[in-house]
Amino acid sequence: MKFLNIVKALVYREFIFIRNNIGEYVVLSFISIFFAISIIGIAISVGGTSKFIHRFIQIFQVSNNISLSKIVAALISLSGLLSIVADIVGSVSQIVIYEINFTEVIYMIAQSVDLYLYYMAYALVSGIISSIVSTIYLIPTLLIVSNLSGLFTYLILLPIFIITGIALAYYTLIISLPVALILNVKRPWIISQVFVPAIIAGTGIFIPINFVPIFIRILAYTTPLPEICIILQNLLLKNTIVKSMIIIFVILLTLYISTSVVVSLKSDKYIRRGL
Amino acid sequence: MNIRKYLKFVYLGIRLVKFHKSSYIAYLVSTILWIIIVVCPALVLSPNPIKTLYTYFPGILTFNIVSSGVWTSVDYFRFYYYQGLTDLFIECGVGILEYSIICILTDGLLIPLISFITIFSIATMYVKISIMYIVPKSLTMFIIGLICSLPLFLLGSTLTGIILVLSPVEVAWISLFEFIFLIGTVIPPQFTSGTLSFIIPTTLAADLLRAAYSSNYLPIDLLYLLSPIYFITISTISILMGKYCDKVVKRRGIPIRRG
Repeated sequence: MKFLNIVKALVYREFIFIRNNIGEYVVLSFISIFFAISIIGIAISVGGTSKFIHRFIQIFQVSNNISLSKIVAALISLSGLLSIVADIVGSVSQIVIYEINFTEVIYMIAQSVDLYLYYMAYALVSGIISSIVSTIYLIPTLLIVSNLSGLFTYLILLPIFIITGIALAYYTLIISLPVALILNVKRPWIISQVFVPAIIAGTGIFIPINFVPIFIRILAYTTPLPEICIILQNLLLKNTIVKSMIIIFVILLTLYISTSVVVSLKSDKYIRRGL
Repeated sequence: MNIRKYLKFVYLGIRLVKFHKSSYIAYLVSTILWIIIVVCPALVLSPNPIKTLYTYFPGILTFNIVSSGVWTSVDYFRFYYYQGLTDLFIECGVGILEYSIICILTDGLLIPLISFITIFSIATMYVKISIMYIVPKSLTMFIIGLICSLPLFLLGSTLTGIILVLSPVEVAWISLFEFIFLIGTVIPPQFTSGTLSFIIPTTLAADLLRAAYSSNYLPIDLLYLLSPIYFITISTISILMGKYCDKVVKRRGIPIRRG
């Protein structure tokens, strides 16, 4: 019952947060679509459409009769991952660090609830709501690109996005709690400023991950994103499901949740003892 | 024109970098990574990587310079305002133009150049070609292009300054505004309408840089002829706009939406 009450309060706060920052969500959606379309635009402008499709087939090893509109729809759907990472990793890390080091509302929260419950609930709520809100732009975009089937694609992708969001939120919690409590950073935006593009660039998102140079990939391997990216690419382009990646992802998700229970329990004690 | 004053400004800029070392490094890393996210997949998927490299990459340098000008202005009129620094600057006679000159050496030249070189060399790793493609075919053209790009830093900061001074716009929308400068710089004029590209003033500087890699749109003789005129015009326009910004701030203050 206690957990549910915390969740209710957090849902309310999350919606207020979204209402106040609606401009950032619009810009984020625009940037995601822009990235997907400009990649195709740059590639086509140099060599022509047929050569681009040939190269695409070569790289992703898909069947020969793939059409341009299907490629566009697939890349736009993949851009949803970009906006999820930018939203969740950015907001969770900033809010956790601000609450502890700057506004210090964490002491007020600690008076009324158990902090480990609060953190677990926050990651869950933020993961679910942010992943829905930040990918909602896919509905009109996919409807334009591939009519009604685009809508079904979105409905299939939405559960995957939500699970990715939850995993990412717990992952960010594991990283940002120790940063806030032990490092006591003066400039918390640096974490989101560097982490977000590093994870996205390391995953490659629009290309298979083995094309990304190894030193950029390292950070991305600690997140669940490479596995999800492979699953999505196979689902969208080849209509197949990679079972091994799903198993790895489930193992990672369990690892994240169990580790974040430990980390938030520890930080609960740490905060109550006084910083 | 007081040279000593401007030399002091440059010295101040170097001191500022020493204060904000970690911020600058984070800014550099994030710039490099965000550009890699969009440009390198395009390079991998394109059928002719070397041509893509030469057509699209020189513009990134110009775009970087303009965009850091835009964010310098956002720093001055928004982030510093919350800390009360903007008022302090204005009292000391440092308007947006003077502040841009303080930052021009690091924000306008050093960071874009370092990120350009890094992005270029990382991009060659994606398609597994030699790193030597980074060396421009004509070094003079590259240097002229770089010099002509510098006033664009002032142009970006003063133009954004006018927007921020006249309306209480949110910072998030500024990142949409800077996308205008992509036309003509990163997206070369041959792929958009030529006239549209040359209305946006950043195109010519980017074309000078493209000429260094021999993928220019205008003929080289014309570029040589236009470059001094361009440099003077852009500098004059940005000085006038900077003065206008200061005038508006003195009269009405900085409009910021509260709450």
